[in-house]
Amino acid sequence: MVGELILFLALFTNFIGVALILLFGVGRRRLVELVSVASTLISFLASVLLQIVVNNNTILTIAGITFRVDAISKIFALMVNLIGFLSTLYSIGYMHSERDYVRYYSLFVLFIGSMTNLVLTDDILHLFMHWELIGLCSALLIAYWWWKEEARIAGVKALVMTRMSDIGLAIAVAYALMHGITSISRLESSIIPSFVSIAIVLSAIGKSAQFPLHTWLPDAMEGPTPVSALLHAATLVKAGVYLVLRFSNVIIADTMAANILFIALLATLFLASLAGLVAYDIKRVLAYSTVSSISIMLLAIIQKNYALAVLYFISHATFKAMLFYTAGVVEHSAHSRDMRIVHGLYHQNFKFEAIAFVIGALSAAGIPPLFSGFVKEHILEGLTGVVPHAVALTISSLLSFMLALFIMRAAIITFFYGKPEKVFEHRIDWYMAIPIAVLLVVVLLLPLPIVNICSVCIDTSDIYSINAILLISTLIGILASILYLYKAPTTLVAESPWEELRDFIESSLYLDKAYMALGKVFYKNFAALASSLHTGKPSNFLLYLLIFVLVVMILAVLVHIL
Amino acid sequence: MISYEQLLILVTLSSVTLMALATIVLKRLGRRYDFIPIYIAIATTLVQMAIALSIRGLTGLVGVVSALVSLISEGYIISIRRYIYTPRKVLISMLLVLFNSLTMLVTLATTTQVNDIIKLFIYWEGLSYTTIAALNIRHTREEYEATMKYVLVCVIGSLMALIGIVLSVAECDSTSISVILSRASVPSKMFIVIGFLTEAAVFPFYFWVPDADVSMLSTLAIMHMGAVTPVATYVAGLFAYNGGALIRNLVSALSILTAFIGSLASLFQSDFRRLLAYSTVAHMNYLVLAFANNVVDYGALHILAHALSKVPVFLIAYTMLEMMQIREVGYAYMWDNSLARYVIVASSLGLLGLPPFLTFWSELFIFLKIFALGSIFHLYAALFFIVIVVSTGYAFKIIYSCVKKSESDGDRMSVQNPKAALLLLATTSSASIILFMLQGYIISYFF
Repeated sequence: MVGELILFLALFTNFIGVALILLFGVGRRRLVELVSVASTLISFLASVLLQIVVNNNTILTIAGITFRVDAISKIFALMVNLIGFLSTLYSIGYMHSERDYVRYYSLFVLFIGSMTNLVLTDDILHLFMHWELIGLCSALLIAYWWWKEEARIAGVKALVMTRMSDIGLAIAVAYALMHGITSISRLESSIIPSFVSIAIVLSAIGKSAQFPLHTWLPDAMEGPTPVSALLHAATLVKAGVYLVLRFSNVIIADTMAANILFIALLATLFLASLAGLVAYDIKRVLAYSTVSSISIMLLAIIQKNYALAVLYFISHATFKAMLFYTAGVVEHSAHSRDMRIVHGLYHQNFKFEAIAFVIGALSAAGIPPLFSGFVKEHILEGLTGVVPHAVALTISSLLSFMLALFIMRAAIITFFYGKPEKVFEHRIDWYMAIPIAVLLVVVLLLPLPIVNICSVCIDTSDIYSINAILLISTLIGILASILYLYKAPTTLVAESPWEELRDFIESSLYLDKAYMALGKVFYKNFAALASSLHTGKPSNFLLYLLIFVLVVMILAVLVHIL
Repeated sequence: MISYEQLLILVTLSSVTLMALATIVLKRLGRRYDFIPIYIAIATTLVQMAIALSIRGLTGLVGVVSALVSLISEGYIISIRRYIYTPRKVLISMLLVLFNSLTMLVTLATTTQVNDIIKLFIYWEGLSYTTIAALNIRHTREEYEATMKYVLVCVIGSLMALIGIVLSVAECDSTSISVILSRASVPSKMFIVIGFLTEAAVFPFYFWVPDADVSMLSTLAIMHMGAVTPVATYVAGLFAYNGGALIRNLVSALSILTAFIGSLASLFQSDFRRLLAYSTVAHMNYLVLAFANNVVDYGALHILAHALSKVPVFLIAYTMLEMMQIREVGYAYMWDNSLARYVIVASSLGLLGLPPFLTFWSELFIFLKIFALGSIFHLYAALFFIVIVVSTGYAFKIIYSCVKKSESDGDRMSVQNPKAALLLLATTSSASIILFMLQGYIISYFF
């Protein structure tokens, strides 16, 4: 009974909050903010209680829907609600001048509630429903500033690209229903055909922004920063990780599905590292960092290192949210995210942000003793179990170097390179500062408490060992980023002769441009063709009808003869 | 004991007679009382809804949708009266009542309670004539053109269907639909299917649909797109499913092709109502696909889901046209009203088939059930899913119409806000969200 009550609070408080916001929120900003913070806080506290009170592998039923409380779902629910709560708090400061706050908070809280349901449900149909709902919430939040063309395009792009891949999960649901199994716990332990495993992988690739469907995520930066933080740290892209983790048995058992995923991950890692290295938009760099971090988590799952995947998920959720909150303060103050305009902020009054960002970037780079450093090294080390030793070592060293270089480049330029041309007003309030401070403490103290939490259900032994080669590669990457301090200012400000090459790399070797061109061709040609088919002329109709009847008759005769 | 069929005919005839009598009496009393026929229509619609709830099955659900759309139409006419003048209210009231009954009678004719192809044909023709009447409320040139196209389709379709019916009755020596479905030859069934398909918005027969939906008075057009065309898809689908593998596959493939055409063509439209009309073409073909593959329960649910999303936004487009002379979808932002914006956004999202809207369940289960049929149906299901994704384009085109996109765009217009009408439409849009949570109960009640 207590378990059900806690689960109910974790699952449905946010939905009740959304209903209250929509019903009573118009014209009452403070009430909306209060309800949003209160509902996300209650949901977070319930997730904490769920961790403590409810035993693993418990199946609970609420309103006819079965929910599964186990190590994975508990940790995911906890992180979703922690980041959800902090992001809501941050939103109060960041969005304080927004007039359309009812739309913002209702979608934001719905997003968190839906993700919580997604990770706790044991019903695949229910999971699919929330899978689609988080897709819709994210698209509408990305396009929140819908008077901006970039935001509008980014919203539709995110929805179309993720939804295209949703067909995979829909196929899995169809298979489950065909066999009368809607329980995920039963499904994951049964033998399922190869095409279903591949379909699940396809779905995860789309939602988690992996190659070749990764191009929507950097564009999604057009949304408000708290949305980016939520989307990257705990919700949308993590849904794909959760799905692969849940169905890891069936995916790994199918060689083709596992191979497809592995190739997609390697391609993503390299493309994201390269793109991150040339991007000038701070949030876009963070987006490329997320794309690569997700690849690392999925890589751990392929290696059957589930504990490492979960630990990296926890670590990534905290440092990535902190990085976004900090970038949000910069954007809020400078009204720009372009490092060519916003740089050298440490020399102004942005010391707190600089410290937080650098620690976050070092975490993303994966340098011990920060927790993510240990975990990332172990995951990259695990490549030896998948590919030959020499190849694994080359790939992992190169990745360690590139991942460290590109994220640290952003930190160095934004906060330490030169002095900005103009003085930016430092705009940060307590609502924005507290989440950054909380996450800074968590990131620094993460190793101890997190291992304690995870050790209950996850084997965390040997986590603190260090691989010298990978550590050196990462250090070289970090040191190389310092070279940006000496880069001539003109290359940052003026149009570079390498601009075209930079564009080529940032658009994932023109893949993104190819998608956009395809979309335009599709619109201009197919939509125009479809539209022109309808002439509205009766004579055309009669002709079509005659042809149709003739074709049908010929087919009927052919079928009869054959 | 009076049958449902007799009851429906009795109720309709009584109502129409009452309206005619009331008109004669009220003509002397002046325009103050010209809403009386609408009130009679509301009372009749409520009775028809009660009958539909009692019949259950597909007929019941279709009847409920039809009655619901009718009530929205009647409620809208009353609530908007201070802002938009509605002509010929007696005729409109009669047509709404007739549409309600005939949609139910057509589907009832296919059930075991009636099971008669001659009656089906008669009711079908009744529905066609009612549509012709609905197309000529205002006697505009646009209406005449749309009527001529429809008449052409109607005549050819009816002839085709009649040839098929005569052949099949002669072959089976019976007018029973179940006997014909099981024993008639493929060519006979093919004629029947082609005949009924002409009114089901399937390529190449759909050419009259966008014109008819745009030209028809919108308070009747919503009835046409919400209940009448869906009934045509059911009848065509029923005969296609029982017409053998060739017809079934052909109709399934055509329905997907038309859904693609509808979704893509709507993306290309600038006229708000025409865009919605093309979207209707796409959704009608979801229904054809469902019914042609015997997915009756969720096909029927999609009729309800589609109506709840389409009707409010279509009436918003009509209101904008009548009150602000805004025809283009891109200028919806000029109406500075949050309720209107809510209706546009909620309805458009509903047309996308995403949660928390009822269309999510209907489209998902159509996909799942077609996928479960195996072999070639895997492909149909996958293509169906892609069509749904393609619909994102036009849905977001409508959603983004609520926002001013550049400084060169005109400013918002200050117009009187028909609060009652907007509240009615907003409630209808919200009903899709509420029924989203009750889909299981709806299916178990009716099927």
